[in-house]
Amino acid sequence: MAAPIASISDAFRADGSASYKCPVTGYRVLAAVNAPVELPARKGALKPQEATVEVSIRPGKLSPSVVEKSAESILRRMLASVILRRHAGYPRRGVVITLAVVEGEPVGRSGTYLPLMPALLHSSLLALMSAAVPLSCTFMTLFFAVTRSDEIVRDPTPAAIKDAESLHVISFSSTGRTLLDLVDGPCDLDIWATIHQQAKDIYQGAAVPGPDGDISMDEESNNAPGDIIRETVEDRLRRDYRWEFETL
Amino acid sequence: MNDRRRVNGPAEGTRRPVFACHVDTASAPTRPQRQREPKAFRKIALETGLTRSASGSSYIEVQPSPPPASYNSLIPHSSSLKLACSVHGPKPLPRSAAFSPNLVLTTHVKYATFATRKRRAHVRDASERDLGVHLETALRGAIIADRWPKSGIDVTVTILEAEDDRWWADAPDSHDASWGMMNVLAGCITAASAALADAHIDCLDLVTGGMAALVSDDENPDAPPKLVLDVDPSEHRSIVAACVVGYMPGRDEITQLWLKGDSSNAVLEDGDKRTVHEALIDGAVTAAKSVHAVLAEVVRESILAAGQ
Amino acid sequence: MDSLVQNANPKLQLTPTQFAAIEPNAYILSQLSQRPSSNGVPTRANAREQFEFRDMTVTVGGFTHANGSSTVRIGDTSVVCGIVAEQIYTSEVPSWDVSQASVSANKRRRLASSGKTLLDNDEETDQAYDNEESRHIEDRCLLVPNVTMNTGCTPGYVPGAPPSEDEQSISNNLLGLLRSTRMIQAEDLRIWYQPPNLDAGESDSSNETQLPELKAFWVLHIDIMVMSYGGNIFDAAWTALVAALRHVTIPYAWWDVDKEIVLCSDDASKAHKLSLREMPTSCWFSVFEPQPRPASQDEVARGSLGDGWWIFADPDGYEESVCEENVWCVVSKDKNGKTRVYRAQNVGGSTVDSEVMHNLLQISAKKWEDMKSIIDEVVATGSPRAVAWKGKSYSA
Repeated sequence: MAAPIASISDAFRADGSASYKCPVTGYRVLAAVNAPVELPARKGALKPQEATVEVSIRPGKLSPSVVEKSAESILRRMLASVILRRHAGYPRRGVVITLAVVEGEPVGRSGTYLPLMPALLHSSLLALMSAAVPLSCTFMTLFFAVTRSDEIVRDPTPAAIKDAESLHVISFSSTGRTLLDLVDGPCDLDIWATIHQQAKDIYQGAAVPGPDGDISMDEESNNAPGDIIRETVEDRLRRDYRWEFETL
Repeated sequence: MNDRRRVNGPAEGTRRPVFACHVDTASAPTRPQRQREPKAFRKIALETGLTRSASGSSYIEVQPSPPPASYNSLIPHSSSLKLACSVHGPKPLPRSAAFSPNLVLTTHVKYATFATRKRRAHVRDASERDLGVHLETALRGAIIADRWPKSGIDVTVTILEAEDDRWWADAPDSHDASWGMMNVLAGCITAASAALADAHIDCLDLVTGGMAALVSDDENPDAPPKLVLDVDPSEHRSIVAACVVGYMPGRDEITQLWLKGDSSNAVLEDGDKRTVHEALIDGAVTAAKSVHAVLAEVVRESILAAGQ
Repeated sequence: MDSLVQNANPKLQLTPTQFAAIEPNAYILSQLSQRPSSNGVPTRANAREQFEFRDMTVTVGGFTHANGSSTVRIGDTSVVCGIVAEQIYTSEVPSWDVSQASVSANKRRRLASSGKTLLDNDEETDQAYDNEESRHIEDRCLLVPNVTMNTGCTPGYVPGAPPSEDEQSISNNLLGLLRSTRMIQAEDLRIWYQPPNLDAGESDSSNETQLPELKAFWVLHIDIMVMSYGGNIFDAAWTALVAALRHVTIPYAWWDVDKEIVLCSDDASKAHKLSLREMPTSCWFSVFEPQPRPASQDEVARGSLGDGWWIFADPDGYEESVCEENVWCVVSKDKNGKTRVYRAQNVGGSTVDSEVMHNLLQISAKKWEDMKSIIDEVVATGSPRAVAWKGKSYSA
């Protein structure tokens, strides 16, 4: 399986930014985060005790429509549960996340945004870290499809997505909890349970924090999407702090 | 056409179904006849307090005129008024608003898309804004606005089913106007008044909507038009003129008056000394008085029920 | 938490309503801990048990100009749904060509010659036919659901303003569900023309009738208006949509060759109802966490799930405003009693794991059985009559 391609802090104008490409589905997402910012237009809706999270999706070539709204609402609530919105300096302010889908099959009128979810979520996470927004945890997202013959496919190709009966997206936090669980399409409850068991196994094989809180650095054992997050951040840090590392 | 904040239909647009009996004149149905006396009303159902999330609300429904025996067509025989009204407030004005020593009244009237024979658009059109302005005028005269300085109140009316403008099988002709709107306005005023009472907004009186019209059913164009109250436009061949009032019986005061149609050449029946306008307004006031009895009863009941 | 009430300065006594408005989290928690119901189960601020759904009333019909309509009341929430059927001609679709309906045209002819109707034949689901089904409904935009909340149902939605993000999201979810459940069969929305067999006299032996031509589609404009806002709008909207779809009557329509238009018959006996493949039920749950979310990494490290959490089925508006995590399930059961999941969504927090989710899906499946019988009953009773359902509590 080809590994996803990600980079971090490419844009200069935004507080934080990232790009993430999922090679299997072909989706590439650019994420930009501005936080904390004042939101004068939303004065009435701002909460005094915490930050307001705003997410907007710009679909590649199409003009934005109703289709993006459900996905935006899912992303907003998911990311709001990860961001420490009560952190000093954040209450009464906004965390504005803009996600541009720059490559990949556009989502049609009654289409589903589930295939884009891993790319959208991972790019937002990277951009949030790039903007140094305080987070309670990081997360990884898994994507499955169930074919007409009830076969479970992990990371399906666009063709497989088109033919699939149901699509599943599951996110686990670095603390081992389920952050997001989405199903679209008819699916037997037993298969649903099987997928969740599989997802748990992949997750547990991927990132098991050791007793000291560190994550074991075994390169060969897995190809979980959680790794790409860590590797991208490490690469960037290595690049940015090269002067320091070299003088050591 | 393409609204990016809504789910859109086909880009090519859609057509209303054409019924064969419209095209085929041989099997054309017959026009319904008014069964009631000229001064008699259709039954009205009025209820308050249905929208719990609002400070005050009401729902009004007019019983449709009964279909002729053995009517078994998919084309609805008649339309009847169904509308819901909700009141929010008094509430503080937004900070950006200018100071107002009085209660600021805002009214909105919107048809549901399925309220009329021809599907309505989602966006408000001119007739809906028109109704909103008429309703505002009617209510403003009744509300004691200086009791709530720096406050606002929103009155929203949703029309779930509106009266027909003319009989569905009639060809469009010179007598066409949006006559159905007159009935709708009368209903809006009555419903809004009930909702204001439900929200405990101080008013001078329960302002009530009443409607009357001059209709000519006769084939002979010289026959004098008749004055009828509570008109169902589909039951008449043509309507010469119509009038809606917002009326407060307690003070014998009209807060809003809307006359429509060409009544300059109309002649009343023999022995009637009034001008046509006076006759129409008198008729509408009579209608409002009758509706007021229903409105007062409903408001009294809801207050008694709340007291228990 | 409840010390706020007891130890407060006597001059500053708060009524329960004020307390509920100022400290909603503490109020709900105090209700949960103070008011166990008769069988010892914690009770919510609205006197319901955790998995207790509200009373519901469903009415079909009542709106003259809609082909199908319904009214649903769930507690303080009430919605009205009206469906209007209009037409679109294939000749007006720029990209249309006959091959786009070849599979269904062939199938139609085959069935006509065998004397069966297309709708009887539910078992036969070739993939090509299926694909054409969904392509017709989706590419031609035959289903147009929209939700309107700015009817004055709540002060948050300004009348006359464009649809808010919530409304757009609900409309899109309705559309997505109509797609993924494939409830509506494209055949119900097609208007065919059977060209006369001109050389029928000479070649009876061929036994081959001409292929029918697809001339037009019905488009269903589905409009849902929220008349009163009391939380859980989606469940009410979906129930109203399903009931209204069951109530839809589509007139018999044919292609008039001379006038080149589609004509409809106003004869009610010739009209048809939609034959729905599925009738899934939607259930929303809110997850209540009394503790505020952590404010720093230190607090996260200390852990803050200590105070526990509760799930509220069918949340009302007050509960929705307090809860951040939501679970949404859309399920039905097949003929063998197996639960099928159409939509599941758990987002906004980290308390619900796959086990809890599994339980909620099973609760939703139980609710489905009740919902199905209500809607069957209300459709059977016909002209405007309300069917009431007493809210009840479920367990997985």
